[in-house]
Amino acid sequence: MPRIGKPTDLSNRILRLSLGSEAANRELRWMKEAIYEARPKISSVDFDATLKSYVKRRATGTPLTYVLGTQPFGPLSIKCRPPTLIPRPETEDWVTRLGQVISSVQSGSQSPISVLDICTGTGCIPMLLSCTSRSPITALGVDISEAAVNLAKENVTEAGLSGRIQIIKGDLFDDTFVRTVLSKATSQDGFDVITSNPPYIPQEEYDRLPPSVKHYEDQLALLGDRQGSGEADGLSFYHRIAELISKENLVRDGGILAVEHGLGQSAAVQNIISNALGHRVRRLEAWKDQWEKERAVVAFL
Amino acid sequence: MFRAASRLNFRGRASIPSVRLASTASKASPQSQNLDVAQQLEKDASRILNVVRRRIEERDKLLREDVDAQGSSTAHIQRAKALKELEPLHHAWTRWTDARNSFSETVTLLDDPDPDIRALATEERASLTEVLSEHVNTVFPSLLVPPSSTKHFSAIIELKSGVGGDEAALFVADVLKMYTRLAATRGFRVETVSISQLEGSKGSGGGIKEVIIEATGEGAYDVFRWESGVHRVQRVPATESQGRVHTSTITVMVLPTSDAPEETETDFKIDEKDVKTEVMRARGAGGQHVNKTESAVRLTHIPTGISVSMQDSRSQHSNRAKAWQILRARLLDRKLQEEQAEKRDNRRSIIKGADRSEKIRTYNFPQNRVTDHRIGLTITNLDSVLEGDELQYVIDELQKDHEESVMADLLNE
Repeated sequence: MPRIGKPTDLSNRILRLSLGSEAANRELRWMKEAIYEARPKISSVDFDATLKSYVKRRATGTPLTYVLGTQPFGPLSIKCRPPTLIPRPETEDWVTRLGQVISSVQSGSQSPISVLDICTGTGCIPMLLSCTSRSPITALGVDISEAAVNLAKENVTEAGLSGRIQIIKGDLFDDTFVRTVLSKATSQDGFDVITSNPPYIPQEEYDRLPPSVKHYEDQLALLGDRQGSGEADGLSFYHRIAELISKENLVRDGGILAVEHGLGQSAAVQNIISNALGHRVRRLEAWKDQWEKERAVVAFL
Repeated sequence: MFRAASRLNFRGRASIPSVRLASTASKASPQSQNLDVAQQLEKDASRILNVVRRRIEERDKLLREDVDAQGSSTAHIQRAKALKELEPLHHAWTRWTDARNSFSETVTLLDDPDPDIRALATEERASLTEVLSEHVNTVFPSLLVPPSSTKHFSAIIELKSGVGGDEAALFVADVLKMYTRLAATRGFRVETVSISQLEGSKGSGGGIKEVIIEATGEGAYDVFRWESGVHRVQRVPATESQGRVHTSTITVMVLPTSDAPEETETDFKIDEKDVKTEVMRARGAGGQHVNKTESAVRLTHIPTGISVSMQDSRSQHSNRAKAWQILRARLLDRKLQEEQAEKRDNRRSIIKGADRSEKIRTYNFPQNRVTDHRIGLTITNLDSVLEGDELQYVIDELQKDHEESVMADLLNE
């Protein structure tokens, strides 16, 4: 009968296969910390069982964030569940920066800055803005996925931000979209700020995504080609957002449009926005992320 | 409490002679004999009085300086700070001078025809003598040793296992426990900043490769600063089957840190432009394309080359904050070391703890003793040291020794 090693030895062996021993040890430690944090008085029997189950799920390819159920995002801890998109560190970076400049938008009145976040997913963008902005924020987050909307609502409630952030279900490409979101806006001129991290991956790249992304995260959150449109550059959502802003009073003059995009898409996204909004755009900025890649286009209107 | 602590002192040290007053036997007349007392006092304490005089002159110079000059606000703050620090010495000097003058006057009254006046004068002389000798023996020495410029700092303590593999890592855990206990006794809050543990290898769990903790509280840095250096342990390791004694080492580095921005801002400031932030590993297309946890951060201070990596937490935000904290501490430590080095160049006393790779302490388990090599102090109750109690005694002795060196240098100026 082969000798069964202690749970920790087993774990090490499994993790090391895919990650390399340093990363594996670190993930193991994070798992242990997460278990103790969630249940400080957990019995050692339950602890071992839980840890083993975590390792098993992880070893089969489940992203660590889904195993642990949370993702650190700025000073926040965002609850995560498949298939809703896991918040990325690149997003954390530009949204933190946006929070630092957003106060310039305030018209001088006492009212909070109103934000519309399109394709809100876990709700991480409006939540982080609420933390990093010096001026108070009220936000509306919209997502087409019911799973995302439910998760975002849980996140907002747990963070104590229900008074400031509202989450609704909606389809950007639907005719009712504008009416729905404007009915929640505090001003007739629209929102002060529009943010979005829309799906931006072209079909061809989508097909080549690593399993940890493709097999676990929602295609709806990733694929940027509108089905049936013939578009194959991942930019469908930017066209739609720019179009809506140019035709409707979605964002007021003096406001900001900030969108994340994929590698190599900065110029194209800048063009889409300039072409659609013309003179409304006072200044267009291309922001780089921590890895020195162009990651967000920020238009000051 | 410890059973026995022998102090084995191998180094000669300049000691401050306690100045005693001349005994009564003297051929001189009563009056001149009395005056002689004060003069003798001044003569024996001349070195210390000279130092005091010089400080008072420095203070007078600062007072005379043109306040409206083009000096920067930092210079003004420093001037105000220096003046404030010299206040107590100024007061003490005034009291000394007054007492000295009164003494001379009182002495003339000892020959007064009126017996009542003679009696009063005798009393006065006695009490003034007390005041004068107290100043020379206690007040001036305590005021001349400058108050710790680091007393408001908290401490960041880095422990690293050195020579000895698993055994060294186990000793890191022991020393960590010792420091945690001492910090608790002193009322400092302890938090782990980062830790790298040995994962259950060969059944010897509990070893720590590297750990950084922060002890927060006023005076924490001053308590732990003497721990920097190499600690040596001699004992039979847990894994050793044949009972042989092994020698392992760990390295401890203690850095100053402060939460209060004002303290560090006037003391020193890091220009954010001087710091390069790098995130580890290439991430390919990044963004939506990738969902690997990438939280590692490295900060490099370009002018000095000092760099700090942090990847302890899943949160990049948290790693960045901790890395900044450690970077500040390392830069502040570097600045303090430079200041110390400058002072050392002017000093003639023995340089202590100048080399961070110096072996400062040995913990010998078979002989149940701990020896601090800097002051030649041996404690023959190792457990008591590891529990933190006796460690405080060692630290107190190191602090005293440090103050005595500072004093010796002052007198040799």
